[in-house]
Amino acid sequence: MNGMGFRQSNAWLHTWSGLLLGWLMYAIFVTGTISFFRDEISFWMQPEQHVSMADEGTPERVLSAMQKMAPDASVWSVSLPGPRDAAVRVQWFDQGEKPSKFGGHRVALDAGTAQVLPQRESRGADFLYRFHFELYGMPRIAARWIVGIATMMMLIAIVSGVITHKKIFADFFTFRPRKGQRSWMDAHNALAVLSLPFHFMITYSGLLLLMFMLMPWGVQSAYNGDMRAYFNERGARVTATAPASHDQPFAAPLAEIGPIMAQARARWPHGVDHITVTSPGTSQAVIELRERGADSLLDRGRSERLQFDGVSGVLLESVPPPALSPVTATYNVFSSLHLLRFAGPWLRWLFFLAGFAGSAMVATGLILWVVKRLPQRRKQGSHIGHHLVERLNVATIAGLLLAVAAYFWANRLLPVEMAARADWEIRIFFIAWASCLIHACLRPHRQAWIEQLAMVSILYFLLPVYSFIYFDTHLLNSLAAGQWLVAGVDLSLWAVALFSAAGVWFLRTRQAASKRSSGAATTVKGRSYAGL
Amino acid sequence: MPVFNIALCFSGFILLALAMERHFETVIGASPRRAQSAMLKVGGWAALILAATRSIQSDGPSVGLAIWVGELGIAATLVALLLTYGSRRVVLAAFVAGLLAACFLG
Repeated sequence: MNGMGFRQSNAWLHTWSGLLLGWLMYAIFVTGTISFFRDEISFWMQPEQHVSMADEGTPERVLSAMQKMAPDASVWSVSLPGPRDAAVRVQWFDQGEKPSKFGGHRVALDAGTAQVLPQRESRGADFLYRFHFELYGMPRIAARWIVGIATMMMLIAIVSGVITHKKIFADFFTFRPRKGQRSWMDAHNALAVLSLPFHFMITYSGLLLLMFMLMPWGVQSAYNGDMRAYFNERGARVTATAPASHDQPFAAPLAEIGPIMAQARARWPHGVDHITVTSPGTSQAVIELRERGADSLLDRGRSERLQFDGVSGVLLESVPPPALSPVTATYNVFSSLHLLRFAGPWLRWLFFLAGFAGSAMVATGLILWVVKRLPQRRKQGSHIGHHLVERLNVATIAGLLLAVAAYFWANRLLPVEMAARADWEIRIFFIAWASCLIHACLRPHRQAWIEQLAMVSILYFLLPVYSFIYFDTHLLNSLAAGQWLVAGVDLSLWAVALFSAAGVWFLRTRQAASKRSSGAATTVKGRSYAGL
Repeated sequence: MPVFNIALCFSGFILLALAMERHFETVIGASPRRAQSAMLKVGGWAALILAATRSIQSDGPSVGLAIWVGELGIAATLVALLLTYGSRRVVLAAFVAGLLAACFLG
């Protein structure tokens, strides 16, 4: 890079690191943005469970259902419905079985009736969430390294981008539409700079999270190799343990849950998230309640717990959570900011919009690469590299949105009793994505954009329409009942449809304009041509 | 209330935009004097910082700052769109947003 100034070498770095990993970064940004609403989308993908409506009596109803369903279990674990999931998720373990997150028996219950709800075999939004940081179908560690390198490059692209676009702050608030390359540049700059704090924070915290997964050496040396001490200090998990008793347990009815819940609700502003009952139906039963997400990002995973005697219902002495070390607090702030563990709906929506802006920033950057080189290509004829980038842009930017729509459609249309149904949902996601690539290669560039965006628009628009026909919880009913959980997802799908339709409209008006102007003897290419 | 806080950020960003020569010229039609620019800049930053403190007061430092950063992005995007597509209404919009923000402070 001899002879290049500081700014040019940054421009070079920004252009090529952006291009090489841009498609991957776009996929990471989009799937990550969707993952801010992971629980909501997973619930939306279980339409049979939408009928579940919680009320005051839900805990009592569920515990008596547990008594019938699993009277001999060693532990019951009940996740109560909340703003992000309307169904009750219960899990129980047989005597002698070691409690674990994915073990035991797990079913979903209707919060209003405590009946078992049908569960579609589906990975839900977890597939997109996992894809966000470990892709799919490759060794987990290798994938995390790839995503980690892309994240590092993203951080470099952000910093070098600010240096490269020297007028990024002078052009603050500036957008000049209908000027071809100039407009794309403005849009790219505006999307970057207007949410710059978010982009930087999300990339940096993402890198931190991956670093802790991939390179725990710093922690290892600080804690003398005792990773368990580190994780203990960080997580400080207290699990429900029955108070030591030398007496033989005997059968005893479980205490009334109503008064216990009332005590906890009075203490916790956000209510109760989880009930764990150890040794239910015996004299040694313990009921542990866990608080729903706290307010601060510092105390990730440290929501308060209360233990009650399972027979008398008396509050047992609670173990105070250990004090936070500064290292833990810092790690918690960054990881919670990235994972949005305890965020309320407003912060979640703000991050969703900022993530959307980030995805659009990467997309406009990729399009800019093509648009910038277009005049040269016009003069010198086509070039294989240029073609390739054009095709990959369509297949990634529009194609990924289409693949996600196909995933949602597979969730709706595949027979519920189908074998390996969850795998097929994912297969259809990739088949749709690959078809987009083939389509982009076969069709003229601008046509490919228009057709894929039109398809995206149609697929997203029809998803809520399908619910109108087949489910009782379609938009009219969910809005009337104030079920914002389901209605919110449906309305967001329409928002995506509207956005893609706007893209189609934009490209078609440009197309018409450029047809008109190409008829004239002199054309001002920059003005009438959007570059696509 | 998020709407009021966005209004505060929005009016702050309009002041900051007007502190820049290019946007001042589009909106007002003349070049800003140096003292004017400086005052607009101070006012703009003050509004943004005030929004941050309000946000921290209601949601605590960690969540409050995160919300503030998100609201800044929305407000700045709205100002950019307004300057592009409705530059004649900038002063009116700043006035309305300022009024909204003032209700919230009072």
